[in-house]
Amino acid sequence: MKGTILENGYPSIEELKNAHRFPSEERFQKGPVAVIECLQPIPCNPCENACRFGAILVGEPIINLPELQEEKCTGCGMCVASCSGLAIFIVDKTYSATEATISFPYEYLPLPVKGQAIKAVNRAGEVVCDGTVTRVMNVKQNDHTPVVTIAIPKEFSDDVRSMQRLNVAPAEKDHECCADYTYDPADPDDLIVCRCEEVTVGDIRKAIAEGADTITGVKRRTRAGMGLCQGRTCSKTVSKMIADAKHLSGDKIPLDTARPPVKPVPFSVLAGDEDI
Amino acid sequence: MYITDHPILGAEENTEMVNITVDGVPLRVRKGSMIAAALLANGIKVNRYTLKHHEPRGVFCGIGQCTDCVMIVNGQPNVRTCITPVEENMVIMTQNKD
Repeated sequence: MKGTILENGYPSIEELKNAHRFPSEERFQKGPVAVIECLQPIPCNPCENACRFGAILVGEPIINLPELQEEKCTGCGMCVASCSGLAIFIVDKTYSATEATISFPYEYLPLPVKGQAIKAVNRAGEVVCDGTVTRVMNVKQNDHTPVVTIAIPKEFSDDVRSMQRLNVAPAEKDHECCADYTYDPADPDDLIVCRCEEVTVGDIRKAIAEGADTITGVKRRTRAGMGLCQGRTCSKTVSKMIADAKHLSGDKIPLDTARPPVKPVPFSVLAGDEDI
Repeated sequence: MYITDHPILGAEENTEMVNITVDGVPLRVRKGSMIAAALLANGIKVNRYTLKHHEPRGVFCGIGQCTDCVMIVNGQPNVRTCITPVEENMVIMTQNKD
């Protein structure tokens, strides 16, 4: 799974080429063409209907990856804004002797304007080179998904897929609070796990050391998961801590017991005073 | 701070305001916004204090899951303010303040 869309959230060039997502180099040399960087078999086909030349084929079943009939594609760009996954780009490697253009969906404010100098970024969002905006298309058919076209040096045309957002300070490198965090063995004892009952990492480590080997066992000893949110926030972390301590994978730790109601309701609802 | 322009939703057209009180202080806030958002827009970040250690808590998940942002709304405690819209004359209190 190294270097894949599942690991990183964006695809690698090798992954795309292996899945035949790139048109042939001969087709690139004939002019603008769509690059459909769609890798996951999900039920989705707006791109098929967006192409008036019949160049995109999804067919049956609807989870098929869209196949580009590269000889039919004119590079018109109608499919770019239609892709809900923002995964379609128009690449024109014939724009000039030294430059290529990349068209991509750009759902951010402020929009750039034609002629503006921008920083071109790759699939990971890292700055690759300087670029110039050649077109900003936001017609009604785009349905609020503007398509921006930028000119960049030709050698980066397989890498560049967007531009750095304007008027936004770049994220700090060490800013990791939004990552999909569960638990790290180096976490300090006073870190809160169960926010409702104020149960810390140390409390749960102690419970596990005392023999708790299920989420329910930890709950009985510490009250983690017994507060207002009913374990919605902490049970994943508790599960990971038990799995780590027992050297098991997370799916071997049984889920905690879920009982109705599925969302917090006042007692008066259960007593029949009002409808849910 | 409210979002007044959005790339998909467009410009905010709703300028209607409602009156609420927070711990006795009157505020005018945007109609239809969630209580927690209206309070953040007015610089109020603490929604409740914890029971054991009396530590301040504010918005954590923001989607109604974690119950960190609960407040006393019109006399009812444990109301998740991040998913409850403001209404005219709402009386909101910081939970477990004392």
